[in-house]
Amino acid sequence: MQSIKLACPKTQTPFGEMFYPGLIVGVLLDSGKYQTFEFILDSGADCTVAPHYLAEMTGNHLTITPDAYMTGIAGVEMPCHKGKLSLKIRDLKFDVRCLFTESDNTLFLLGRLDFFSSFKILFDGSQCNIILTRQ
Amino acid sequence: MSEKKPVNRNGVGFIACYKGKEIASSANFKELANKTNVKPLLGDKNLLIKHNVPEGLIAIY
Repeated sequence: MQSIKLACPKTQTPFGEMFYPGLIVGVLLDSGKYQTFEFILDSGADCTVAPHYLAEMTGNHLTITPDAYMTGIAGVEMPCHKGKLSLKIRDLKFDVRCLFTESDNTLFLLGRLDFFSSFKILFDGSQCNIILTRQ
Repeated sequence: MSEKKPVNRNGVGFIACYKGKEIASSANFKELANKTNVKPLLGDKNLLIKHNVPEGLIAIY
């Protein structure tokens, strides 16, 4: 099985410096090229979430009206649209189903759906890295 | 008394880096992706788009 070790950045918080699970991920654009983004690997997110404009950049044709709603820590429901992203981490390619919000202020979150079933994931906070093993 | 380093809490948003150097930022992803110095670089392996993580805040997603 293929494993890759990905170094993660750190972030400053009121508790001091902390491990930040930012993953460098290539997203296949409509142009056929991969654009590199830093996604937050979020084991608490049911699925991957991205801002609305990324749907346009990736050739997702979204429904006019929302076809799903999501909620988070603030408890506010947000309308969103189902779609798909083709991703690449180094040379590992995979697809994930994704929710696009109606906002362009939404962060890039890599959630559990499709990703956690494709990889075994080890968060190594002491060494500041994430190890992915293809299942 | 020692002075505390000022904390940067500007802009929860997005930044674009080219060859490791920040070239643009915006609170709005669409605005960032369409900036004149970012749009032509989309798909270039040296361009990275990421979140601007404010210092000193606890982030819960």
